[in-house]
Amino acid sequence: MNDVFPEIPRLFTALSEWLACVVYISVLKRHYAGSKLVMIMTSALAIQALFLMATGDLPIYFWIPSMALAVVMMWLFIFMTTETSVYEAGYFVVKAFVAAELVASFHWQLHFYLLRNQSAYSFLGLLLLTGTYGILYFIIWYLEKQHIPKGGLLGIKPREFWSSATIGVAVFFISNLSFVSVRTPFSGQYTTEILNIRTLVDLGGFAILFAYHVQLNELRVRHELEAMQNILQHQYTQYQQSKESIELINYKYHDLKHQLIALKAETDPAKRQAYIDEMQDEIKMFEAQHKTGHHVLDTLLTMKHMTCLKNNITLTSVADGQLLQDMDVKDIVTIFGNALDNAIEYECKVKESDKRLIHVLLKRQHQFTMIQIENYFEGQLDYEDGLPSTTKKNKHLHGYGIKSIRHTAEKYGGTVQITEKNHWFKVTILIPHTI
Amino acid sequence: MVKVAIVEDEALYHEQLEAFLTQFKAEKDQPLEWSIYTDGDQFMDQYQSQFDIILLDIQMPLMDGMTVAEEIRKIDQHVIIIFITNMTQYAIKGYAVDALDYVLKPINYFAFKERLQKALERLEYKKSRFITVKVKGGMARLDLKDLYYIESQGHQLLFHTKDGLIESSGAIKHYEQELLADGFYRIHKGFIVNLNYVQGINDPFVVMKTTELPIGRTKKKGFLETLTKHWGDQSI
Repeated sequence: MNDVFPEIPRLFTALSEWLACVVYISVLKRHYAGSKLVMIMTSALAIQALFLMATGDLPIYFWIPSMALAVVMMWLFIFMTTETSVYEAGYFVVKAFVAAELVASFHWQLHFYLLRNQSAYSFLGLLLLTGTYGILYFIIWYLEKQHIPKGGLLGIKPREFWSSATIGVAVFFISNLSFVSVRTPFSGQYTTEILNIRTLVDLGGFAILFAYHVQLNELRVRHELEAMQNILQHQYTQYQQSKESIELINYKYHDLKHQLIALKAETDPAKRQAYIDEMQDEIKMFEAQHKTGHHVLDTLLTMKHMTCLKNNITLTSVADGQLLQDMDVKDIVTIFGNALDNAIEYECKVKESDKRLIHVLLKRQHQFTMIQIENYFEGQLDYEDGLPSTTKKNKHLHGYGIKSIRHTAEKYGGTVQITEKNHWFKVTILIPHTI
Repeated sequence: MVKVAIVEDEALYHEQLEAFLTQFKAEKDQPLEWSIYTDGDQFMDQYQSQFDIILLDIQMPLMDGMTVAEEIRKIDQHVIIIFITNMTQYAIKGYAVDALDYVLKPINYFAFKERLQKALERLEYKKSRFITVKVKGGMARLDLKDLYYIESQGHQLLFHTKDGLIESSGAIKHYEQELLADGFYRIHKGFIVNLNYVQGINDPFVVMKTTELPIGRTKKKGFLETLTKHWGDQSI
């Protein structure tokens, strides 16, 4: 049965595999651009084509190893050109490979039906090839593009890779079973039947992988939102709690006045000294008061300042709270709370307490509001998508702290920039005023 | 040479500040000179914008530091003012006189050094850079500090400057690359603006000191990001 009809030309298979890789690379975050990317892509096509043509005439038992090697080459191609991890590249290779099989098989079935007696390389044959590959890959590109996160990275873990790999392998074997042997319950007897089985199984596999991908992506988005919500809630609760403790400080202020009166009347020097010491401690807390002209910011700064005092961090702030009048309380808490928490957490790790410095700036710059939180910093940072990836162990939560700041700034039409210069780590937020 | 004024009534502190400046000067090999004033009144009498940096105490008899700062700003918008104080409740309002940071008393050398270092960086920013542009019958030297924006009209390039319009020729693209590091941004295929003169955004226009310029739809995000970075770098 094998020799009754011609198989897909190996060159077409190579082209399909290459195109599938290109489609997935185009939606992912790439290392290279411009002529360098074009060069890598061209050589990948040449290598894939040469390899598949060279192994085309090998006996059937070499067929599986050579297909496996072709998949490895596709993996290398994706892994090298994009910023994917080993498993992530693997995940996309499975998708690309199944898509390649589907498109090649679909086209070949059309060719077999429409141009049965013509060579694959005839004018009409090539026209059909270009048309089908073009249309199908455009559709695949369009579908996949919708479900790739902004940065082009999905964070595929080994478990997700293995699920998709299992699907891919199963699809590959079932779809090609008839070509190896017709004596299995799942093999087809006739040419059209065989071609049909292959295309349909590939289509099923592609659909399953696509559905799986959509689900993964949705889970990721939901997870991210939840994490951000958690952080926000955390800051807000803290704010509520500290509001009470600050009211307490205000009472203390009045108490102090009365204590002063008592002190004047006290004649025993030892008792007097004790009074003074006690008052000094209480005054220290009062120093933490910040009056910016916005009560939410006042409370927040005071509460963070108390944490700073506890940890020997010097916090200075210049802030025009009036500028925050039109901002939602939760958003103020998100921006200042998260940025200050990050700064405080970092400063606690600085060995010499002299070097533990944080500065907050909130001011009007022409028709913009500028917020800047900076802290003294020793060491190096890695960046991810323009934001620093965390140095903390709890990578996820920390990253979301900065992400939620950005999210909030964007809500007001603003942006966040993070810079680091001469040992100062700076988060700058600029929000345009509506004119 | 960077000129510093110390305005501080307590001997303890101005001696300490002097010692710190001496140490800083030696450590960083930075040319510095300074004068000491013990009250705000005396300082204002002699003030003629001769300083680059003013270290200013807030709590002083006669004229307090905040009032001194206000008086200074009436005549000089550029000098860098750094409060040296323990009166945080006043220092926090420093934005009103463009005193964007302060050093807390008791002063520790490290915090002082870092502040001073930043002030020096800001001075560095203010140094001007010149470019030469082709004009009819020769070349013209142009101070980037005085350049508001560049406009492209066909083959003509119009440089809008503080002293009027300069007509030149060439591709605007060339200047986009050359001026990127100097705080300029191409907001539209026909316009490159000096970020220092941006006043606001009035969608889809960028508000400049003298006019409003259209911003390309795809340029908005990059513009805002560059502006944030640029202004963020300049504030101390």
